[in-house]
Amino acid sequence: MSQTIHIFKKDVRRFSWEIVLSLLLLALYGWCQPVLWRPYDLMTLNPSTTTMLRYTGASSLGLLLGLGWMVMVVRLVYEESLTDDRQFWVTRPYRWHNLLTAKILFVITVINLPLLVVQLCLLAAAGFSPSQHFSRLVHLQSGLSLFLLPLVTLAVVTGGRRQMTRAIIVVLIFLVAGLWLGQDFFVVSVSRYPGFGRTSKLEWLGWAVMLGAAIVVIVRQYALRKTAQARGILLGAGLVLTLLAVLQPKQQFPIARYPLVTDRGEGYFDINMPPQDKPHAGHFANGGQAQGQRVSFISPGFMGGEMAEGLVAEVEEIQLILLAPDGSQWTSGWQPVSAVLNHNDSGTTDASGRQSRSIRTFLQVDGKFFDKFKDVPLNLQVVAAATLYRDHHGATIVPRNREFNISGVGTCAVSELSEVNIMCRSPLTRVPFVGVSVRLFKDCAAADDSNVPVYQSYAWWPFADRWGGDFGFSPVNMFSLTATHEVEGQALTTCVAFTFTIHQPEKIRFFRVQKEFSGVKLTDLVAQQ
Amino acid sequence: MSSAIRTENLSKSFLSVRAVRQLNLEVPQGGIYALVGPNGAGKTTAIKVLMNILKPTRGTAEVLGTDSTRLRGDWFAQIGYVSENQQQPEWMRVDQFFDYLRPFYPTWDRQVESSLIRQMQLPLGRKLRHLSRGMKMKAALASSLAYRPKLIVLDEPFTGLDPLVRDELVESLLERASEATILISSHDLAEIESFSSHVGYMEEGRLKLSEEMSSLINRFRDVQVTLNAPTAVPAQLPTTWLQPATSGTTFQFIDSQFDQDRTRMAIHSAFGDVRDVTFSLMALRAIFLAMAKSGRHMD
Repeated sequence: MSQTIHIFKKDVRRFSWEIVLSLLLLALYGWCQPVLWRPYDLMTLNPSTTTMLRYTGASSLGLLLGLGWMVMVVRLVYEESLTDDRQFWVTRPYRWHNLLTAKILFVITVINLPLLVVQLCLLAAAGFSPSQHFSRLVHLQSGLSLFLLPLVTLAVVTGGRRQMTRAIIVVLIFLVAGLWLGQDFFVVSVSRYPGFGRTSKLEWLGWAVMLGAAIVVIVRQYALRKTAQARGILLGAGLVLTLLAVLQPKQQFPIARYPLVTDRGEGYFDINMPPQDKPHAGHFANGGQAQGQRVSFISPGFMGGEMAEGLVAEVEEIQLILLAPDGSQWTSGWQPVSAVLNHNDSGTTDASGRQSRSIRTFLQVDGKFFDKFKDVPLNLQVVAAATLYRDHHGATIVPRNREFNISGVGTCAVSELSEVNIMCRSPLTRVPFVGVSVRLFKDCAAADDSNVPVYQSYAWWPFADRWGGDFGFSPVNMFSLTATHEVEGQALTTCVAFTFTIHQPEKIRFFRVQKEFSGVKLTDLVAQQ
Repeated sequence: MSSAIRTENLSKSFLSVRAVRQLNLEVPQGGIYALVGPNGAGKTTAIKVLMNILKPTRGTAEVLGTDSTRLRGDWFAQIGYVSENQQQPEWMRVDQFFDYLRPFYPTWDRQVESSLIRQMQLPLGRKLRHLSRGMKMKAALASSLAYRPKLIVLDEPFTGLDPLVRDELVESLLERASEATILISSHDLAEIESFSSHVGYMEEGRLKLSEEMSSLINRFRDVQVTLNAPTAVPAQLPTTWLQPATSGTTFQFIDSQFDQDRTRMAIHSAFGDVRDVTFSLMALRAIFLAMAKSGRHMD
């Protein structure tokens, strides 16, 4: 143990400047982060220089810290290089387990612990209980170790910048090969579609191979310093991962779980093509190449219809099928989209509704199909897959000091400078599907019962269960909700006190709706640059 | 245990390059063994295998009674290893270097350390990276002697050093020679001749000779024979006579198995009566030059 501490102290002395810099950056990071919790317009409209600096720091220091720590751990390993036969320490009475423990102790003391302290401070500053979330913070720290593990693994089998660069190139080649062969094998799916977000056995095996190979290589190198064997293990692991990528079945959208709902079924919503605001110029029409084939790009936009009272639909994927008069057909396949449809009890059309109900996608059409039928009226079949929710909303609330809480989610801050801008923060939790509606009035001159609201403006956070923390460093997950003031071209107001209704819809089931259009021309759908 | 180092058919190859070939080396305890040979002879590789820096391809090596492949950690508390191209923690000051190493060694002797620092005039406040090559070697040697190691292994420690520094290093080394076994490699024969008790000669990865220095010096003589008249060199000469050459009435050779009476008899057998015979002691360098030129095994 004493040898561990002795080596650790030496490393601290060696990297004293780097440690001071890291701590300063971390403190700065902690100071800057809370600025992100404010609504956007408070930051963007006439911000002070300090706010600007804090905003810049909050958005860039995480990356800087991450890169800095990566460089530091690599240099930490190189301090007692495991590949070089000219290192003084090799013939000194170092015990390998003490050396390895000293390095781990350094990472924990210099990186993990200060970060943990900053995270606890951030949680407290955000109004959450640090002790309540301590175990999750520790879990977050282990995530950071996983983030550093690949570089440590490369550092123990390389002996300098040149070798490290070569090793990174080899890893990149494997990644590209893996992505090419297995498409999204290396990408952890964060989708919440059934089956999509789950990790398959092959993926588990892949993770086990990656993690196991890294740990075996690190421990073996410290114990035996057999670099050629260690590199062989890594290469073997890379080959196994590539093989697993080949064997991994391609992920398919599980449409069978989304039964078709007709126009009389519960949850049905209409799909419309909005009138074209302006003519589309075909900038991309003859544009790109994809996988060796010429493709053209279209960007069709649709507008989801209104839902029945008490229901909310989250549209997740759409599929387009184009049918030509001669029987030719082109299918887009399932494409992810994001739109929330709710009941509009005021019967008006608002800008936020247009925005949230808009279902827009960007597609590659086969170049030959496009050229042949671009000016020919086609039949278009649109299928939208969605999740149906029952809208559970609580009592209306008036924010205190422009802040309000959403139970089980977190705290939201409100501003109304340009629009109703709500910035919410949650402590280390994945945010569920949540929304806020606000009552808008024509004027507040007669703020009494006669001044009835003319419109209920909705703002939804549809990215349920998705993690929003930056690099995993911040324990405060943020999401923003924006509700417009503008209704049918008229700017409304929330009056003196905002009155919010929080919506936490309850999932009912998956479903899909289908709509057909005729006389659609591809040239009208061409993507704009 | 009579040998501090013993190897049996030790070989080390790097792909197709056979750096060390069937090395059978024995370094007696308490001896100062000089491993000499030209550059590229395999000395450094052999030493790295002994220090478990490299793994042997074949054969075995024992260091202080332990298989060299098991040498790690605490075993190095008894071994002092200094190499010409060893990378030191150059960011440290000399005093920090000593402070750092001290706790690793239970037998570290502060008095020896102070004495070495004084003797070698090491600048304690200067960083290792700012030291001259000679000073760096001194610091490395001092840090390897202060804990009174049982075995001191020095790989080309004097290369590129000026004579003064070299003498200082040798002096420091010899002061500790009584309590340790020393293995020192060098391609400069003159620098180790004065203090080595044993010598081994390596060439192309093979150990061509290994014996006590005194025995080697005693059995080699530069022999000059003055003949009565110019005479043709006999076709058959003893194989132990190296580099025979005649010039007028003078016949000269190097006897690699010198024994005054036996050599005189052999001369008489070859030439009959001769006018004069002189025997001259040879420097180690001259002996190895003769061996290298004749390309014969001398043992």
